[in-house]
Amino acid sequence: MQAGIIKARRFGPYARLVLKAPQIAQRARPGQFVEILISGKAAPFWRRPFSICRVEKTTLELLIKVVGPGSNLLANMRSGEFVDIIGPLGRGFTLRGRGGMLLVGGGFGAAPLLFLAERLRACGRQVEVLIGGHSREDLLLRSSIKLTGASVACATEDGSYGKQGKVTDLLIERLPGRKPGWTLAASGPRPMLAAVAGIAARHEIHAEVCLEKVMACGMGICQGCVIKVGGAYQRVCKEGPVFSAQAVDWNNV
Amino acid sequence: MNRTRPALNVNLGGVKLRNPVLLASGTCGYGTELLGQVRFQSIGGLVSKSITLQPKPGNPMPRVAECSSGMLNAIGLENVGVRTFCGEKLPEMRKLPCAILANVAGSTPEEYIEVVEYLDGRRGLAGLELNLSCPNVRRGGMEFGREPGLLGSLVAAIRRRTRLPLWVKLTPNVTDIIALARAAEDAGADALTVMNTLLGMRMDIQQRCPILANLTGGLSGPAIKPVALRMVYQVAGAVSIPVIGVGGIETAEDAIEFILAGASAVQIGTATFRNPGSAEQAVQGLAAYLRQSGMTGVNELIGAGRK
Ligand SMILES: Cc1cc2nc3c(=O)[nH]c(=O)nc-3n(C[C@H](O)[C@H](O)[C@H](O)COP(=O)(O)OP(=O)(O)OC[C@H]3O[C@@H](n4cnc5c(N)ncnc54)[C@H](O)[C@@H]3O)c2cc1C
Ligand SMILES: Cc1cc2nc3c(=O)[nH]c(=O)nc-3n(C[C@H](O)[C@H](O)[C@H](O)COP(=O)(O)O)c2cc1C
Ligand code: FES
Repeated sequence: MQAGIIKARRFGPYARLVLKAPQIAQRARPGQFVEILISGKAAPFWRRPFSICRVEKTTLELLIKVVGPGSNLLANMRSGEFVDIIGPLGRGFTLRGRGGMLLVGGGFGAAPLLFLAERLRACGRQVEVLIGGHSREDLLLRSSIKLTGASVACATEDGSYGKQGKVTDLLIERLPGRKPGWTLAASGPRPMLAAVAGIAARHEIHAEVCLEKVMACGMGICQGCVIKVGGAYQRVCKEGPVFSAQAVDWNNV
Repeated sequence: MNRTRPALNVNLGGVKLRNPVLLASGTCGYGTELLGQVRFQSIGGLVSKSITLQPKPGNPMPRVAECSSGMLNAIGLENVGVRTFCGEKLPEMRKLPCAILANVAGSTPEEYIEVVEYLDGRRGLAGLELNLSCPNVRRGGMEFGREPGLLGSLVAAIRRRTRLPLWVKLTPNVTDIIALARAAEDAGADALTVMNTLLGMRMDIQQRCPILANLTGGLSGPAIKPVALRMVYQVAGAVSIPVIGVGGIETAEDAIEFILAGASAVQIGTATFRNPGSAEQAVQGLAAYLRQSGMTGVNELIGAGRK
């Protein structure tokens, strides 16, 4: 499907794109992703996966970090241009329970958490979002998340904003004394997710994590993106990208 | 003769298809994953992932690597096994409005035979395709498809066990593809699928090791198209059974090249990952080409480019 870019904003190594894609926007759930076929000089062969960061009636928003040729071409696109996009793909967060939710995001991992916070707030649930990054510039989507009515706390490794340290330090600080019914959702680099899974297990709190793998197809047909979940291989693009943290074999992701 | 609607239907060794474009084994799952992405009523058929006797978990990760104009895979034949395939997958697959073929793999001749006997006579199967790019554990891991004698005796043994149309898929990683194609034809194959992936490798320059856990993998995608086309040309000139061309086909123009070289049909593999509409678009483009050339059907085009 071709989707027109209606807004494009570049800041440092990041970009936010708003696309007109009614069929995707209407069906999307937080945690799901899209696959984009990038064109241009030296465009990569495979499509590239990006989390859905937010949807409105007919539009969806993506947050892109430039890490290589594909993300670079995409982040430099302008409004009025078109992208070839497939989605929504994968299984998102379950939104199970009615209690409050703590969301933990690192770097561009904050992308699906904005969408999740919006949906949770729309159901009237209490939401606290913890965002981490190397320094102030990497604390993404803070103000957009605040606007959902969620409370936001930040941690930076260089101490340039919020608490100095890791976002998981912030999580450990804030977990004790919570009412039963609170659950966790996390998205970000693998070491952060593994740490969140450990913390959740120690506090006996249900946690869901949004994982990433290099994807050749993104549609569940190549078996190239598998991880060990509950002892068997599962496809990150189809059974995931959101998994129950306890079920994931963290030595095999 | 209605010149505005050229006939696209083909008969591939007893497998009758509405048009000559199929989805290739291992690149369309069990079909149902692609509901909503592929309009199955517009394509000729699909070939399942390779099915083995027991379920297989597949190779360790990483299993795929991106290349310029293609990719490497070492999935390791991950599949649900023939019993679950017949019990759970096939009942869903046969609801798809196109022909369904099962691709069969094994590590001993007995395993191939057992899988074929289990599949024989199942409702909804239009035919079988044998994947011979599998290591034979009895012969030190030498692939069945690399030696004409080994290939011939395996195909002949399977031929006696099933009345389903039997396609044999050849591996390109050999010195003399013609000898293997003839061995398959002599042993009773109804059609030949040419070709499977080319063995390749990629290195990770940061970690300084091969990217794939399996070290090597099969190269697919546009990068291999000229090799596949050459092999189809050679094989089509050497046998009298139909040849199904596969390797790097993304567009109608690619498919037409294969048909000109002598293929009676084509399969679309890796292209589906980038564009799930590739197969359907190839069908439309082929129909338009035949119409513009004033041809009555695809049969007029098969081999028309041969010297
Ligand atoms: C489900 C999912 C959701 C994602 N959501 C977002 C998002 O919202 N925003 C965003 O900026 N990025 C997201 N990513 C990551 C994004 O897909 C990759 O950064 C992108 O594919 C890199 O392509 P490239 O051509 O720019 O770089 P490449 O040259 O392909 O890669 C550059 C570097 O990034 C690594 N890399 C490549 N792909 C991935 C990947 N999928 N996961 C982890 N590392 C990778 C490579 O190993 C390499 O070191 C997501 C990935 C997945 C699987
Ligand atoms: C991810 C992947 C998995 C594959 N799995 C199988 C398989 O199980 N059995 C088989 O016979 N061929 C398999 N193939 C080979 C394809 O069917 C096809 O022969 C090959 O990829 C060349 O065609 P292409 O360039 O159009 O992809 C696989 C290819 C890919 C890319
Ligand atoms: S990327 Fe192909 S199955 Fe997940």
